[in-house]
Amino acid sequence: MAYSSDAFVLFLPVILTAFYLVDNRAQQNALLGVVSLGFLGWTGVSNVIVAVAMIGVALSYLQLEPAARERFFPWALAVLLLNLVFFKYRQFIAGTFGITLPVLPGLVWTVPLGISFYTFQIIAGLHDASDVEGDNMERPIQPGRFALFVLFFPHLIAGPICRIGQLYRQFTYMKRFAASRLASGLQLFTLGYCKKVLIADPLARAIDPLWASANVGRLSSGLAWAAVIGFYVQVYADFSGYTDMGRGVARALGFRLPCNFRAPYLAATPAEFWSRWHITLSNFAKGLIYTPLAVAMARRFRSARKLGMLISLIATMVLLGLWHGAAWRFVLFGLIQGVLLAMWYGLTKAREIKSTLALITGIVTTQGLLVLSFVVFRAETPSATLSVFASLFGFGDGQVAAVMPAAGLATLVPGAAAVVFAIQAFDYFATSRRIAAILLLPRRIPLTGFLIAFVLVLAFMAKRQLAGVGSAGFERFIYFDF
Amino acid sequence: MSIDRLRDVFREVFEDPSLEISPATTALDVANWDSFNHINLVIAIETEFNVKFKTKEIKDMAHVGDLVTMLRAKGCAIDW
Repeated sequence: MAYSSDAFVLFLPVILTAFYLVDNRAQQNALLGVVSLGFLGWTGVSNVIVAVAMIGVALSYLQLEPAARERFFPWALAVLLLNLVFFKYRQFIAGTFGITLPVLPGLVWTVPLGISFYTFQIIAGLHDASDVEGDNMERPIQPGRFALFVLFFPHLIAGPICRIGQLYRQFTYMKRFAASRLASGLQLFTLGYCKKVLIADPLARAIDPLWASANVGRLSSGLAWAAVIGFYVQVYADFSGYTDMGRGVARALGFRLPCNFRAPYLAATPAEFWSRWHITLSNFAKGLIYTPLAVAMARRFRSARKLGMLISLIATMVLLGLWHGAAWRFVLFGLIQGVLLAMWYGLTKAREIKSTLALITGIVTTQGLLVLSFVVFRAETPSATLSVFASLFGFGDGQVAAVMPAAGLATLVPGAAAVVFAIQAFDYFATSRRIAAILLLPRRIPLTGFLIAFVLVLAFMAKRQLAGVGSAGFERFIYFDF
Repeated sequence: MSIDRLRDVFREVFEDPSLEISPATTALDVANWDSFNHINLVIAIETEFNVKFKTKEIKDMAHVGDLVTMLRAKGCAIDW
């Protein structure tokens, strides 16, 4: 189920009311468990079966003694990853090697919702398990709470991916109602909802036809830039909107989920971008893939250790690219990001930005490269990617403009870009105390938060107007596909 | 063994021949001590002192003092 779906928005008050009517921790947790499974199973029971099976694997592993855990960790990891490969990558692998797969009987064998996210979530949990346990396992991981750590619906389908210290312990105490927390949560949910239904979805409706295979080769330069910049804006509004809604719901329920976006489009270096974009995935990749790999490679190539580390960096980004989807374009996207990062770390001597001019130059260069790199992410075929690049620089035949007038694009794309820029500029400076005080206003004056949440009702109605009749296809998020 | 040997590794990794370190030195005090150069530094120290750090140790090094404590625990006698 998507947070921006009417069903969820209408169901949210019911969940919140039920949650705070229950007056003990065990029942609150049970309620969260039921709601989370319902949330996952909304679009198909098979989603639930796969998730529960993988949590079962994790819980069996967690029953082991510490010494046995160390020995079996690679096996647990293998089961989780093979499950992911089976559901998400088998067609891709078979296609690459020219193998024809037999038709599988019975159940639905499509990619289960959220599998990429909860597989990483479980891996992080297993890796971190000893962090919540004493040296002698005096407080072993509690199975129900571990299951909730994975299944908790505000982060189940598209993150944030939590380390165990960020979430697990929050299930150990009861959540009491606080009007200020509810207001602040609803405020964040509303912000995310507006990003999704007022920016991401209208943009998608406007630019998706440009990316369609029949049109993508025939764009004028202006339309190509609208498609490319439009998508860059859309993917942020869509994904950060999703995260805001999830974090907002969690906060309204009394939970804290980690921040996932901090003004990524104001990053002045490739490294800074990845510390501001999808932060929880970057942290996961850095801690669990890059660091062990880079250490091993640097040891292997001791005399040329920097080279070993740069190769590890590229390999990590290629894996992250592939994590996004079973297609070569995602591998290429990861490779491009890896090469950009490797160039940044390999070629620069002084990496601190000291002057305003360097900052502005950095932002323009980095963002320019990123906008172009996202073409690879969005275009469905290599020929489409080439066509878009050709069109961007004026080599397209521009015939689409004649068939499909760019109605509204000239105002929509710059308008959406300006709004997203303003939101990110706000996030960028939100570390300063004065702005933090404004942001936290609803904590002191719940009324403000509730008034802001009233915007939710307006946006809820606007969504209908914008969508028009018979276009219910936008109840998905880009990152639901990963 | 004096601290000079460790300091020289720092100077080589951060390409700063006048760099000085103390137990309280953290990544924030040294230009370009980012996560990339952290691993670079750790492996350079491993090579110089012929020791091996665990991943958790690499992560837990908050300042030079931690690093020296870890090196001493691995049998390297380092004095300030």
